[in-house]
Amino acid sequence: MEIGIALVFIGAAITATLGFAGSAIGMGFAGQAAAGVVGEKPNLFGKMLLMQALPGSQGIYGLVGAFLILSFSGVLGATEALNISTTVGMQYLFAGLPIGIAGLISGIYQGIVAAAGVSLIAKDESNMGRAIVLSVMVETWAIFGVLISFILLISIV
Amino acid sequence: MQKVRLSVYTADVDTALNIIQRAGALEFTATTITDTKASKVTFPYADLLPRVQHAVQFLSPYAKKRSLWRTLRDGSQEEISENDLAGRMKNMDVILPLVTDFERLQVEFVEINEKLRLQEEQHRLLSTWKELPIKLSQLETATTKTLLVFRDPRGETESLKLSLEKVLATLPGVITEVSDSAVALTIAKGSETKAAVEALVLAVNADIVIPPQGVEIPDIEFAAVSQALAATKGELGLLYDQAEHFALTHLNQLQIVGEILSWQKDRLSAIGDAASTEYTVMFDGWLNKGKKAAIEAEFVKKDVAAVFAELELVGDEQPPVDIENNSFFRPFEVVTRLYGMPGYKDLDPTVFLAAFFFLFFGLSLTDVGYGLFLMTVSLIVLTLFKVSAAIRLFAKLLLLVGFSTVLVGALFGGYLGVDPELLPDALKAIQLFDPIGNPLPVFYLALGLGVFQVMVGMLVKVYSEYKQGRFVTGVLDQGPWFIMFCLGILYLAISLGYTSILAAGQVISLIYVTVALIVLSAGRHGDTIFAKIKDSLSALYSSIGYFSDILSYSRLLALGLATTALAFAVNMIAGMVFEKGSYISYFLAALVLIVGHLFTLAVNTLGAFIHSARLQFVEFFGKFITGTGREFNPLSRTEKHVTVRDE
Repeated sequence: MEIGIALVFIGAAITATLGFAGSAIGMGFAGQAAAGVVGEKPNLFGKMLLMQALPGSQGIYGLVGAFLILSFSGVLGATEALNISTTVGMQYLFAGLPIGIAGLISGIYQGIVAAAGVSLIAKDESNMGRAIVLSVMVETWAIFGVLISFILLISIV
Repeated sequence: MQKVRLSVYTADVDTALNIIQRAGALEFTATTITDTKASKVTFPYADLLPRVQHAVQFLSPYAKKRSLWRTLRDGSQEEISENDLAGRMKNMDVILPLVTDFERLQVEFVEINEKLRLQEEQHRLLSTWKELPIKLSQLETATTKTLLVFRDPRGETESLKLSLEKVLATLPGVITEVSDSAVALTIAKGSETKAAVEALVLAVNADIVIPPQGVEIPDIEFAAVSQALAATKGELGLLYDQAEHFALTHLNQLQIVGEILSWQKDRLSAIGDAASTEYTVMFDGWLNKGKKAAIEAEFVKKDVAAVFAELELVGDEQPPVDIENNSFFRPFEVVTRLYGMPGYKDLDPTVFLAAFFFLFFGLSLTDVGYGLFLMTVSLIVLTLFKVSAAIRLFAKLLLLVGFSTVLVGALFGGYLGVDPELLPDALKAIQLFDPIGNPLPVFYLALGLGVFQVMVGMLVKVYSEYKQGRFVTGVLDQGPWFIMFCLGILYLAISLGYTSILAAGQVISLIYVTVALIVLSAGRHGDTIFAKIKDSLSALYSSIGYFSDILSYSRLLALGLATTALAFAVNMIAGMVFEKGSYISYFLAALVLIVGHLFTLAVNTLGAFIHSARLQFVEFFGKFITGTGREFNPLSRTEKHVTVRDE
């Protein structure tokens, strides 16, 4: 019983931290490029900030995933000891992996594309929409990770 | 936006351009008219403006710094009337003597600084040779020459005198030691001797230096130069006082004149792209149609001979884009402008995004306390401070989204991270969601809002197509998907038992029919059967896009949770410090609360703004905005030091 709860905690922790790590690395890439552009064109700060924020979504999805795991498992808001089997605990752990792993990898690659988008905007401000779309294409896979994790969570028996 | 040609009687060019510049309604482009004369109209202050700008730049560091509070309260711009502006333009003659006075002061600055530099150099040199007992006038006599030799003392173990004595043993010369690293070497005159000594001096890593100027021994000369240096510094101090006084009395006037002349230079530079005849100057450009009547009325009022003529668009020429909304929606233009302008045929998305941005920001911050803080700060800026129009607009936006945060915070029980159980019953009664204890309803709410916004996006697209005379296209493209979304909602409502208007099986059958509609509708564009199949498959693939769009709204839950969790953590840390039970711990607990909540507010406000904006740009705009337009960049006044009020 105790192992089951521990697995739920591990699942929530992995889901959140992999997403956070992906976002941190991705935002780092985009931020470096953005800082270079702002040095030359300070009036583009707002647009650069938005481009840097784009790879932050994976961290948010990780946070959502962790909360969903804790909520579905009953850990969140529990007022008495929970009875979660090891098998069910493992299910929660694996259910979080799609968000976590997809978040980590897509966060990094979205950051790389966002950094390239930053250059695109630096050349011509009107490319903002195109730069956002190119970057967000990578995020699609993190969203699918959310979807699969959600389906797995509601399928846990 | 209208492509126009403005023809102006040559004598009225500056007045006409002044009216246009003030209205900020015309973006000039290079005219297509050829075979015309060069314009006679030139900027009359081409010589004066750079001198005024230089004076402003030079004097600015001497101006008394205004406190931040005073700048915010009184504003950084002087407000003048249009008549005052005209009066200043007429009296530009009084500026010339002022600039000449300043230039005289600047020349004095240059002379005194140069004098000071030379004296400091002499002073530094003399300080090294202060102990030399030889008069400077006797360094060179009819038979001898005294060379001053210096060596960098770093890394040397023996004195320069000892080093030189070793190498000079074979040559005649007298060494007078001044310090371990400085000696005076007196040798007999003769070029061969001098060359040999120079070689030996170099061999011990020393240099022969240029002697200080003067007659007496260096010690006496040092005292005299020190006195002169002090006097020069006094003169410089007086000049600083004069500069401060000049800045106090004239800087503001020069700043205003500089700015007014810059406006005139900007407007007359438009002539570079214009065409001219003997009596007329013709400008081409893009005119904001909404301001045309007001400009023409002003032409009549000021007796200006100028007229607009509409031009046809050439080829695939695209006009620049500007957005204009009423005072309620105008604050949300900040969000639209962050994205950039929509295509010139697209709708201005500001009105459509306003309600969603308002709501999403509140959902991302979800705290009554933070919302009230944002509202208070915005109200202070709007009522007590004189700030630029851009900052006022942003403050209005902050006021609105702060209000949204208060409303949503009350529904979510967010009160600076305080445990909802500790809240009064009246506040508990209005709480509808518990995002920490039970996040699923908030998750579903966020997705539901996503579905709603995506559906609104489809309807806006239909409206956009209607405005361009393609209503049927809009309905055929968006209609099947809109029906699909409605059926999805109906199926969910039936499954959850909210309605029984149709059986679940019937709804599924309707969904199959709608899928067929989507395929048929998308396939109608292709010219060949293969193109039609490709388009149909592409349309089905769009379902993935809709899925990812809607799931993206789950960020609203996460951002709201993050605010609550951070505020709760701040309270917990402050509580732990408070429990220590000393005056210092009470003080520290208060500090943790203030700094912690301000930090949480700053971080989460930024996150709420960026992610609420992102949901508009990516998930919403993508449904109905087809291109990116070039922002309208009209001739206008750049107001930094002076603003002209409406009369």
